[in-house]
Amino acid sequence: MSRRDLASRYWEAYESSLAPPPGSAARNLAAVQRRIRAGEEVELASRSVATPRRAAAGVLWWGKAVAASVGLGVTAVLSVKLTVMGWAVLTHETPAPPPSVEERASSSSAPRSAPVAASEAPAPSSPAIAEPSTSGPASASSPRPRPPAPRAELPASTTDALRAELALMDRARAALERDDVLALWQLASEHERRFPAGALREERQAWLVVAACALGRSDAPQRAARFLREHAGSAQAPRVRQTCVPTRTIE
Amino acid sequence: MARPPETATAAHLRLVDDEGPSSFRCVYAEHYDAVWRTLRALGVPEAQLDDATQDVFLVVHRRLPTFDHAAPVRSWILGIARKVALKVHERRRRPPPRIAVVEPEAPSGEDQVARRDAAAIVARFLDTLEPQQREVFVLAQLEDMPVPEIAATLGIKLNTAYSRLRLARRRFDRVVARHAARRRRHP
Repeated sequence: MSRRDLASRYWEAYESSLAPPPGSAARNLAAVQRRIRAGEEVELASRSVATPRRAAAGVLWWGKAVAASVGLGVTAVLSVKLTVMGWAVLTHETPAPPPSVEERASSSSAPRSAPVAASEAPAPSSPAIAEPSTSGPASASSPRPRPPAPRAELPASTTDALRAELALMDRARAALERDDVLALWQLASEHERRFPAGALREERQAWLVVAACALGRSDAPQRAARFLREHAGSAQAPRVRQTCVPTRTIE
Repeated sequence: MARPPETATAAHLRLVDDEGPSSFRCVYAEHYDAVWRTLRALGVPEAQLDDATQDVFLVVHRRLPTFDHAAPVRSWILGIARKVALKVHERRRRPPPRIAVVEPEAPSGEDQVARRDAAAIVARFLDTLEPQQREVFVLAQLEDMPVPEIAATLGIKLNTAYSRLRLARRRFDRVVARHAARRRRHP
């Protein structure tokens, strides 16, 4: 079956799921009549809100990405972050003092609550371990206690939020691994909405770029450029570069 | 459609020639389904579909007396529907949500499951499209609207409309092929 035929079959299945419920036409007509009678007016934007973008015309374009295979680098680095964050969440529930970052990295028992085992992480990604412990919510588990933000003061809602963020990003990672870019886009978008300043925002941004490129979104080049500008040294940068192959396109 | 009782409410509708072929009621009956479908495919959440549909026809009702009937009615109405959808999204200040695909009955059998999956994939795909591409794609796919009519409806250049449609279709084909391949690998 050709791609077009396949696409037609999918569309047909979708279209058959779009039908107003029985009786809705009559019900809504009555409602419209009521609202007319009440003198109600509906304001519409006088001009299109969606202004056409000029970006595509003759401009260097990155987009057109394949993103067919999933690189281990991105997920492996995330594995470490998730592990550390998972550990951080766990430690908020136990009174035991946290070990140092180095101890955590070498400990085999620490990551038991994490969604991904730390052993999956390649050695070169180990510098990333330090990152969540110096910024973001995971910093609360720093071995050097600071008076203004002692661990005990972290409210339960914070650990709940961390847990939710972890769970969401773990689903996104799974989507990335099975090459389901639609799900990746949606989960990363959900993360953006729910955790705009989340501890894993860098990964989320990278994955949004990867998904945008794989989906061929026209804003993908801008997203990729912005990510690489803001996170030039990020462990995710190579994946973003690899996925968003620079090409020229003329609209 | 059931004929509403002759009330003061209906009297208001006589403002626009109640019985004629271009009366509000005729226009409503003829285009109701298309408006509903289009709003839904443009990502208006299920819970707001009734209100949004009513909004479209309130505007239609107000503007019908001055509408030039030489112009295509469908383009005009779906143009209004598109603006109402934009307003809904603006109010929500976030991209359109996933559309829940309603199945009248629980699917049974491989074919029905496959159809339900396919419908869900399309709904999810539409949510990943940029609004401008989505509008063009939905009007072309759902209403089989010719591209010049789409360009007129949306107030964009013909080449832009063709370009957006081509890009959206290419992405759609790719997403579908990807999904079909995944299904073959993991049935």
